[in-house]
Amino acid sequence: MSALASLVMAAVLAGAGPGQRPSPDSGANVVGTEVGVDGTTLAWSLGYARALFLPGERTLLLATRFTLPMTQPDMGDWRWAAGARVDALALGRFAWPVELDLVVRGLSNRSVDALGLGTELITAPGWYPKRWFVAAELSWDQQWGTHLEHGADYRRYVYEDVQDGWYGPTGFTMRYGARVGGLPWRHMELWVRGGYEQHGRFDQLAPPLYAIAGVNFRF
Amino acid sequence: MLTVPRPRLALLGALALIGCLDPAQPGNLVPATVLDDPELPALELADTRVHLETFGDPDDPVIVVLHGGPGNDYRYLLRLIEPVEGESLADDYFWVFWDQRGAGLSERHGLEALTLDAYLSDLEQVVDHFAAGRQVVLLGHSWGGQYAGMYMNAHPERIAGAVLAEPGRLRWDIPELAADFDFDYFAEHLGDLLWARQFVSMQDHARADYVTSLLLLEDTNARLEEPSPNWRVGAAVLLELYLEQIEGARFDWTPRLGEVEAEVLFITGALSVDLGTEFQGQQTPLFADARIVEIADAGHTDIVWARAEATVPVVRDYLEGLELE
Repeated sequence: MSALASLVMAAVLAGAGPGQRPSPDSGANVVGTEVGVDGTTLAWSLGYARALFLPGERTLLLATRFTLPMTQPDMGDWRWAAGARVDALALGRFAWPVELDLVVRGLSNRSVDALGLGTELITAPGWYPKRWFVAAELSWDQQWGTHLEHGADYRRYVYEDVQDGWYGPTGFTMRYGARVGGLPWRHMELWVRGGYEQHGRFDQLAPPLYAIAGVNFRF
Repeated sequence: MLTVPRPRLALLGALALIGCLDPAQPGNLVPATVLDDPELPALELADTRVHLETFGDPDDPVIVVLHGGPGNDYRYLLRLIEPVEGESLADDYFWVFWDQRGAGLSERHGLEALTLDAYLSDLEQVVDHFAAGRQVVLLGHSWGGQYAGMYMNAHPERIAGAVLAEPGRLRWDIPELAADFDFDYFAEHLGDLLWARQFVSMQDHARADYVTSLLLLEDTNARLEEPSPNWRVGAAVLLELYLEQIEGARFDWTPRLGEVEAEVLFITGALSVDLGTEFQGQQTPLFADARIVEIADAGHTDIVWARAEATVPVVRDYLEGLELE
């Protein structure tokens, strides 16, 4: 598969979750799924990633991932992310992978329909031996623009003059956590990740935590 | 004088250039408060400014209205003075409607200023401002009924009467019959609310109030015949006062309730599960003289909104039986 085809596939399919650094031994293609407390009480993700092995033992991982909240799911609430991951630093088994994703999300309920555009910067410095890994996880998810369109009931019962349209930076999510996982079999990888997350100084509606488990299949 | 930090000023300038709206700007996602809009009717208290309206003749007996939440506003209670069979309760009584500290269109504060002591002080000032040297009638719905209980326990001698519409617990250990607020973490309304935080962070009052307002029309209110309107939810009040200082604390506003000489009227909705007639039957014995009137086909908020036409005559009958000055 050419690099261009991989890029197109990564863009149209949904990336594999964060796992072991790719290697030619375990395969360049990764299909994965995640489930956990991820932006809501229960969310499920499906992803695909393609590793491009570059000269000088460097690797570029193109990944995309589609997420749905699973508490009475509907197709109005969703998140799609696509981006690239490289090792900013690699010294033996220590590596510092950095991933930058474009993030598009949707929200739909009786009050508002929303479409958000943003980016997520994820870094996971840690220890990456061949069959397992343990790493810190830091991420900054920034919503750069959000289109809001409010329903008639919201205008009637809450705020008649609410402004529809594109808003500038409206939201962010900071995460400080850890990830750990391994490849019990050559082509199958399991991992968990979790930690503290922050949405704003008045955000006390739920415990400020995220916890996600996932599995990848490499081929 | 309002000062805007330079980085924020630069951001606002950039947004204006590309035509984007500012989520923190009052008027965009949420209405302005009395600090942002000087034309809103307001009352200056010792350390806060509250959105407040009065209806009726100031020489008539004074009724101070306390909305629910905490964090809601008085908009949904205004049906109490709408004419029923051609008569308004404002024809014979002087009504004081106000948004409590940090709620509705009143001034916003940091969490440190949102204390039960500050709330009691605010109500004392409102009562003294409109009923100086006189007794007062309190009318409170839900949290507003608890708020009335807090005041009555501190100043039973000031009470000419009280209407408590499905108040929450007046003492921390009064058993609840069912969870008042459905905090099922897998409920769709909560899932929607949590998902919305990715779009709009609760970083300032405007955005926090907006995100919390999205809950108003969700299924948590499905038992209501008709959604009750609100201007603007005070998210910080809901989070700090309700979740931290009431739900998570051992409060007791009952020791002196027996000193209230006037009869106290409890109003309940026949469809209410959590704070209905059976629950309020545990609270009426706290007063020397109290009774319950149940409104048919009404839920918790219906009794003051969707079914207000049934509640208003009950309130009128009660007020006419009091000795008011």
